[in-house]
Amino acid sequence: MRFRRLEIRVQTSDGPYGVTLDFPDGLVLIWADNSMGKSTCVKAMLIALGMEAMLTTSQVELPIAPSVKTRLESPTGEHDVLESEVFLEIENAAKHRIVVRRAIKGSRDKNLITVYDGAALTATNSPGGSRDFFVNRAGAATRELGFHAYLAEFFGWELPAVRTYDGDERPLYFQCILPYLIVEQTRGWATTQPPVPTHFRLRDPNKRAVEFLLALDAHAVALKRQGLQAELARIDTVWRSQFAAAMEFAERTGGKIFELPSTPVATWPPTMAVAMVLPHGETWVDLEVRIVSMSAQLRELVENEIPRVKDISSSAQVELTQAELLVRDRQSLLSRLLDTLEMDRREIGAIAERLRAIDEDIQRNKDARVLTQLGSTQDLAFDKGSCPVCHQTIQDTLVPLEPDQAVMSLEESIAFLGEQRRTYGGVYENAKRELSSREKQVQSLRVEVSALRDRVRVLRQTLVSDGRGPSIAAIEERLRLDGSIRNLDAARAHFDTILESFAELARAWSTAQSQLNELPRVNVTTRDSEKISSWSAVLRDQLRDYGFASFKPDQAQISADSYRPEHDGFDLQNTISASDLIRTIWSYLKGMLELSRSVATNHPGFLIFDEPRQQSTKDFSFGKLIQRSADASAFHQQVIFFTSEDRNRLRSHLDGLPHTFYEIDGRVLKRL
Amino acid sequence: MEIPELNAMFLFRRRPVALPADLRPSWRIGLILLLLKVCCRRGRSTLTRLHALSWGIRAEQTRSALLAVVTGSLAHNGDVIVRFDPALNRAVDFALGEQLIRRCGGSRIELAPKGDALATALEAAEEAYQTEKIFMREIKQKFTEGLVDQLFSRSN
Repeated sequence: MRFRRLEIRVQTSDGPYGVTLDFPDGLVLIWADNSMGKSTCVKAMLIALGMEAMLTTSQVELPIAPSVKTRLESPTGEHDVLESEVFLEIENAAKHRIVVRRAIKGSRDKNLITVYDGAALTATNSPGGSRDFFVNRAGAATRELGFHAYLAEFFGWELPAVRTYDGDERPLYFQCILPYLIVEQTRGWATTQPPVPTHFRLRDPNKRAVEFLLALDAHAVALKRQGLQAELARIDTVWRSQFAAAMEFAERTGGKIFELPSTPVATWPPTMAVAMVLPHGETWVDLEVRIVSMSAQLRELVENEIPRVKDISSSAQVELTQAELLVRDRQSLLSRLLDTLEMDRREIGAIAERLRAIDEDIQRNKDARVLTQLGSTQDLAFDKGSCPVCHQTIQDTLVPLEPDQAVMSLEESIAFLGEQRRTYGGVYENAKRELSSREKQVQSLRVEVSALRDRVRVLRQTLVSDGRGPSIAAIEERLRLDGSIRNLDAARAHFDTILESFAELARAWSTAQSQLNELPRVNVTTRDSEKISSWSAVLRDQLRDYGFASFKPDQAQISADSYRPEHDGFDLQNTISASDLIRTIWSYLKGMLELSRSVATNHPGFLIFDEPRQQSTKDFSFGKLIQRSADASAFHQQVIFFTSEDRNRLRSHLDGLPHTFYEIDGRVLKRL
Repeated sequence: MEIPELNAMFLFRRRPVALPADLRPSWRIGLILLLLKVCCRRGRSTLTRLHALSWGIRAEQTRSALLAVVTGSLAHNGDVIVRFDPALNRAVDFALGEQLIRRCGGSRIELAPKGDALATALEAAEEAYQTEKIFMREIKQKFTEGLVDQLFSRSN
């Protein structure tokens, strides 16, 4: 991408003012004196591209000098600004030109940018069509009518998706990339890596911008890793909720599930088979086994024709006796269980009481600590372990102890009680679990007893009914079995679907895990580290050229992890002098430009520095920067400097170098 | 039988003993100061009333008993047995020694300026004596010396 022409037009009460600047390939210098409007030009270029977020977080005011917004100063005095606009003609790699136009002051919507197809500013022939795009609104970077979505297409850029702190994905915003290409004066010269707007809440915007500009693989790898980690987190959440649902289901059916892992596992089915069990008397029986045994009973009943009362009266008599025995047996078991249940409840109550006491004691120890702290300002003697009256040593206690018996300090006491609390907390949880399991047993036993009583009742009924009728007991038994089996079958079907969903999750878990393992350990690939090491080489080369003196330039390099310049593994920023910081910024950003000449990158091939000679960097260094930038034309790149250096010295630096030099005397914005 | 491991010198060391916090001088002195400040008019009390208050505030059951005495809702056949805690006497002695409280007349004690300042600081410290403060605010200064006399004549 190249800049071709900038036009600023300001309509004032004194008539039209403005400036026109052409930008050919190669090194372009624009000279004007201090505070005459150079930075206004740079800012106007940024605003034309909708990049004001680089300069401000305000959505209301465009960040530009008052001379184009409110009052313009000119040799003839101050004039009110009535309307102002900026036009920028740019050309992409395919030599296609467009003109963007944005109003700074006037009735037009400031968030609209009009794009004219063709070289509307430099060519005389009439432009092609025009379209309006918006900026500063949600979707400016993604939607079709968003200006930055359009600009990315014009640049031939496919902006990578990056993660935000809110967990969303957004395209890497233009406003995060352009600081690497355009260094604006008010904020750009303060840090080794350019300041990137943070209010978009993108994660690691600097890293992502470098990775994109230099077309590093690292971002793709990092993105993949992030995606996989998000997937693992998702599976974990789903697994946990499914686990809770499964436990709830077991609770509802009065059973328990054994060996179901509560957190995701990769091997499914687990080595210990997951099983659902139901209480049966004092023991637990597998659901499957229970269904099989009940089905067998039912089958036997169905196979035999329903007997007549007279045929079975003797066997029914026997059965009745058995059933009555069984009722008594179960009844006594139930009362035993109820006794234990009561004991369990009492124990839990005792533990809870104990926990309360411990908590209270902890609180009182803390109270005593507060008093000691408050009392220390009053210089109390007993805090120091001596009697306030006779000044003999005393123990920190109100009850007499054996001689030589030491007392725990307050802190020790609190720790000691905390430990006790943990232990009792564990015991309490355990007792609660046991209680709930016992309650389930009691419940199921009650159901069984009531079924048995029914049985006794129907057997009695059978025995007293007409001898020719069918046995009520046999019919009732069949119905009961049939109903229970149907219930258990439904439970089993549900349990199977639960298991199936876990199997699916386990498969997804194992796939994601293995994909994560296949990713390279660090995000940087070989191709990436080659790029970074040649970038480092270009950086060192320039530091030598520019006379970097804080340490030996050979020791500088660019971190493969943060992509920031480093010295011996430490960030440069805080260890170097202010002027060396400026040299580093030159070398770092220009290094990217130079790197793009030899390797494939996304660098658009231009660089704009607003007043590059900061912090009284030596004139010699600046001369070197100019010399080194002059070769830009040979690579069809563009380097634009806005400066107010001494004109004669500039001329001597430029002597014999290919360049374009504009000298603007007085104010940049002139009467047209 | 020879057990080589036992051929070592034995060393017995007394471990510090754990002590409930209400038996520590600092906790009890803080309680006395707060009781005098919140529950006693002009920061003055007889030792007997202080004993009754200190007994009443220390557990859930005694708290409800004391509250019943104060509100007069004690059942007719209800009997309240106030336990005198010798630890309180020691705490009072310490507080006297520290000049947090002082004797006043024959049988009464009152908050000294130093103790009053500490009690005010304790009242302001939100995290300290939470349960106790809630209770004190409930009975306010209603547990009067007269009630104390009634209480003891009743149990005698």
